[in-house]
Amino acid sequence: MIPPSFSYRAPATVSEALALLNESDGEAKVLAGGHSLLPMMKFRFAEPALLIDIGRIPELKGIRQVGNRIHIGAMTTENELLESALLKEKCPLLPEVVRWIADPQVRNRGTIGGDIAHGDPANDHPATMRALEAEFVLKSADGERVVAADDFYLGTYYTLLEANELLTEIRVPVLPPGTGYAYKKLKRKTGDFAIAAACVVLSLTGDKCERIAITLTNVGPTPLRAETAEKLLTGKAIDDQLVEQAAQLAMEICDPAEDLRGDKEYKIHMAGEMTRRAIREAIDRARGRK
Amino acid sequence: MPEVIEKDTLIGKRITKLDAPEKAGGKTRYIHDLNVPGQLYGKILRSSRVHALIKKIDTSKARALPGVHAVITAADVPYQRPIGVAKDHLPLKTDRVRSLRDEIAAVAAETPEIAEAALKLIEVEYEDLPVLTDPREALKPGAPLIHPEPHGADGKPEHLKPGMPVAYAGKPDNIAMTFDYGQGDVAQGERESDVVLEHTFRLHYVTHCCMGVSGIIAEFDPSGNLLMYSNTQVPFLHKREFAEILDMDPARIRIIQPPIGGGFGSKLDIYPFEPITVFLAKATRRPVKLVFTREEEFLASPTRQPVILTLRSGCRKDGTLTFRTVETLHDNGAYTSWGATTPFVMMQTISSLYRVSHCKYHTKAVYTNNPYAGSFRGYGNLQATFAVESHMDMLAEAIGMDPLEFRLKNAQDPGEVTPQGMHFKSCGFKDCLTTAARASDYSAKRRRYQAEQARPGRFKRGIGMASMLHVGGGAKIYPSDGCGTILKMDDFGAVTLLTGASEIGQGSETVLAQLVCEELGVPLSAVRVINNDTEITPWDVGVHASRTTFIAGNSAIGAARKARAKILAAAAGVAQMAPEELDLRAGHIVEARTGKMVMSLPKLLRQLHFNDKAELVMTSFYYEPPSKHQDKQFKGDVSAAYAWATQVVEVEVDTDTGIVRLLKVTGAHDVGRVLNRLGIEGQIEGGIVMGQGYALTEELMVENGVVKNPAFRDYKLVTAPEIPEMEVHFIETMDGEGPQGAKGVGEAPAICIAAATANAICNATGVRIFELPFTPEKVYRALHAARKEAA
Ligand SMILES: Cc1cc2nc3c(=O)[nH]c(=O)nc-3n(C[C@H](O)[C@H](O)[C@H](O)COP(=O)(O)OP(=O)(O)OC[C@H]3O[C@@H](n4cnc5c(N)ncnc54)[C@H](O)[C@@H]3O)c2cc1C
Repeated sequence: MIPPSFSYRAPATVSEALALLNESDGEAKVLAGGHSLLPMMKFRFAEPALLIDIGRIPELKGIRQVGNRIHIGAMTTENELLESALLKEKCPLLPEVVRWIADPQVRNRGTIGGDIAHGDPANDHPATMRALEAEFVLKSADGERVVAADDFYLGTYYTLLEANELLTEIRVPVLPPGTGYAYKKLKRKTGDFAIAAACVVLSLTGDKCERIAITLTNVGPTPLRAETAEKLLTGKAIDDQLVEQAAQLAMEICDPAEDLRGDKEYKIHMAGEMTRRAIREAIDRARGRK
Repeated sequence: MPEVIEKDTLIGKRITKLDAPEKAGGKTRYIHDLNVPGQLYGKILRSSRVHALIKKIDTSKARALPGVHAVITAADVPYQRPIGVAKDHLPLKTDRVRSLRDEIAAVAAETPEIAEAALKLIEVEYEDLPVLTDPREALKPGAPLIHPEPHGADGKPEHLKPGMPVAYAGKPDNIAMTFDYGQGDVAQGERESDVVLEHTFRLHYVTHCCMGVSGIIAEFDPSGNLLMYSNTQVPFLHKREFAEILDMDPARIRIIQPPIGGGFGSKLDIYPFEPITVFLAKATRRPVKLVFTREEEFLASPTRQPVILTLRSGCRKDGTLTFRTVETLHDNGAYTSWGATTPFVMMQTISSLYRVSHCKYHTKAVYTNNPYAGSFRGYGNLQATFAVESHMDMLAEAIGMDPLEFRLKNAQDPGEVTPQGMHFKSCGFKDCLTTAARASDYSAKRRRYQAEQARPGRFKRGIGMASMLHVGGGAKIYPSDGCGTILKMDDFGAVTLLTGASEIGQGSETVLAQLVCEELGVPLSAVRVINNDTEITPWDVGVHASRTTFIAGNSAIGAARKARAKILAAAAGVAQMAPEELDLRAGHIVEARTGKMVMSLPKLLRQLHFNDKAELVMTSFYYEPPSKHQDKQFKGDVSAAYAWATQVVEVEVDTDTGIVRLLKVTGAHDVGRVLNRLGIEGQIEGGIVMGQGYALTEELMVENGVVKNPAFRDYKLVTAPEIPEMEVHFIETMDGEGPQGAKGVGEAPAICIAAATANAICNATGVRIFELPFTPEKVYRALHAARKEAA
């Protein structure tokens, strides 16, 4: 339970951090809130020679609107997301998801950047980011690239981030009025990761579903996007039967690992149940009923 | 001070615990915070195999590491002797490991980091043996044997010389312990029954999860006296046992208990890390501190005993219980600790919670390669109550009787002596049943929820009750159940109470101080309680069995009454009145009838000191409750008083996901009398939450002998958001033997929750679950299996 020894640096700017990352040749790890990284180090799943603490870089903080997007600094904590009036108004799905993450202590230090960059399919932001079609700004000493959340997740703890790259910013859309959204997470108890969770973002024209995104947490090696279910519902007036069919399609793409939260079969059923609930609530919200 | 002082009392008031300021202020110095000059840090190398022969241990690289002062294995401590309840457990293993927690070597080093690095340098060669992890397999012919051969000699003094291994005789089978109890004739009981039910219940592993992990500091002084800073719950018994293990004179062993960060029974036995730390201190001639990591605490501290319990019971149509037959199989793990003896308590619930003429109970505790079980708040009673109280609901349903009425019909009354020999001098059981039922609107809700089972809808509500009986006036387990007290008064009227009874967070200090105040008429602020040093305090058997308030309380009262008599006699001389005409109030001697002030207590005490008798008040007292050892057939009255309780649980079940939420717990507890209302409320609320964890979220997952979840991330304790509304009622039966009428309540509140929750889930859904804990997955499966069957 004692991590191996390591060096520690706390740069004051992003460019200093990038320089350190560049020099360290893959031996360094970025330290954000530490809530995922430190347990990994204690269990010796991660043994970085250098920790680069990015908690003292002011440019990595903050939430602001730029056109029809909201730009969120990677070091913004979960509690800051929760308290943001801007998000509450323009992208209320995000603070809603945050309330389901861990507990107040973890949310006090845990960051959105760390939650996303960690690449853990059990985390709640990744599926949300896919459903929102968010973009991530990745910087390195060589420059900057902007990638789609949809392309970011490659496998468990495996993302597009290169060893010399820093996730600096997360860009989520301002949700137009009338957007329906929901995050339904089933957990054994407060503070736990999801047994399964579903995120839905949709818009209606009249009764018809104009577009819909359905994503799933912790039922595969990455956050999953239920594309066949999305296709089924797009352009249709969603009734109970369609909800049921969509849930079945979502269940088909699940491939959860059996663990203390349940075996595959139970988790897949729960992913279906969460999908049903999320679609229904998103529709209710789009219709202004909730 | 006014001229007249009215009689006042602290009994029944809400008193803040004496240690609250330092605990709430983060100032308490637990073992983790203690360091002694020159101290080294100990760490233990545990087995990496579940069951294997140790072929070779090479410690040379570890010894060579700078900063390492000692590396020891069994070979270095030939004088070590087996520990534990059955003396089947050598602290450092010689030739065989029997579970993953087994201790192979230990290191003392200058820092914990160096000690840990040294462990990694120890090389162990094993030869794997077949692994036995299912207790049902343990009894089959050809099953691997866990203790096949003697682990050494027979412990005779002549074999105690250095170089001679001393250990346990070995077992030709895997049976660690058996218990048999019987009353009446169960065959006759069965013939008289209109309904007979039989079911098997499965109880799981949980562990105490004390906030303060296990730890000890051991040091020898230059004269060879051993001092241990230890979290033990039983310092005086340990003193004696350590003397035996170390072949030392007990008079040379001193145990100081720093404030203990939670006990719950976990610190009732000696575990290998304690003698091992002493061996390290001996080897290095330095103080050695060893504190577990949280992971180690999950792997190597005891568990509650897992049990497979088959219950067969019957009743007549009129609701009379006829018989009960119980067969249990206990997974003892690789070694025997107190968990093996929990049948002693389970039996009491089976034979005596309700009146049942014919009873038979058989249990075996069998060795496996799993973690071993110790004592844990409730001591088998959670397991027994889960089965018995589930069956009470099922029997009631089978004869179409209201479960409350069914229980009332069979419940014990005051004065009863049960066939097992327990004498219920005070008994508020029926009051508990009716009070909890009334306060929770049990009967009406039960009928309504049952009627609503068939209605569509995802959420179902249910209500369920369970009751319990537990020792509440000490427990005659050891030859003595006593506790000594010395009470000293200084010339300012301050009282120092030296008691053998340990404080482990339960609030005993405060209650003892209150009881003393009641006798001596001094304010609470005048009392200091000293309770943590075997060199200073008188003997006590230890904190267990909900006994401290009752036993140590009576002992403290005895000492205080002696002091009171002395003071009043002296005051009578000064005031020229009879002692009976005087009373002690608010630090003064007063006229008993009028409350008129006669003189201040400190002034009188100073006079006592400076007069020719030269005496400040000092008294001592020893208390042994009227209880007796059970005979070989387990008949006898083990406690001077018994506690009763009924708890009603209301749940909401999400039938689509299996999530069970506790909405409300309504309890009625026969506690004899409330002494510290704040303390007892806290004790009961905490116990309810512990019971809730047992019922719903906690499980130490042991697969093939491996603990799968040694961290709070995966071992789920109940936290604030899940805690239900609680309503607690106290039934004050004013026990004749109890201190101010009180009975023990330490374990009681944790006992009923699992059983009541099972009954509530059944009331909500119509589905009965026989296995704990009620995780979402398990509940979901049970509901869906039932749906499939119905379809
Ligand atoms: C008890 C507990 C319960 C939890 N429950 C949940 C839950 O229910 N839902 C949930 O979503 N999460 C949960 N978490 C995880 C928590 O949200 C973490 O805070 C989060 O996963 C990581 O964020 P962090 O800021 O702590 O990152 P860290 O732990 O510091 O870092 C995590 C990883 O990301 C890398 N990293 C961090 N920031 C960057 C960056 N800007 N650029 C590049 N790489 C970076 C680090 O190098 C590291 O590899 C829980 C954690 C705990 C301890």
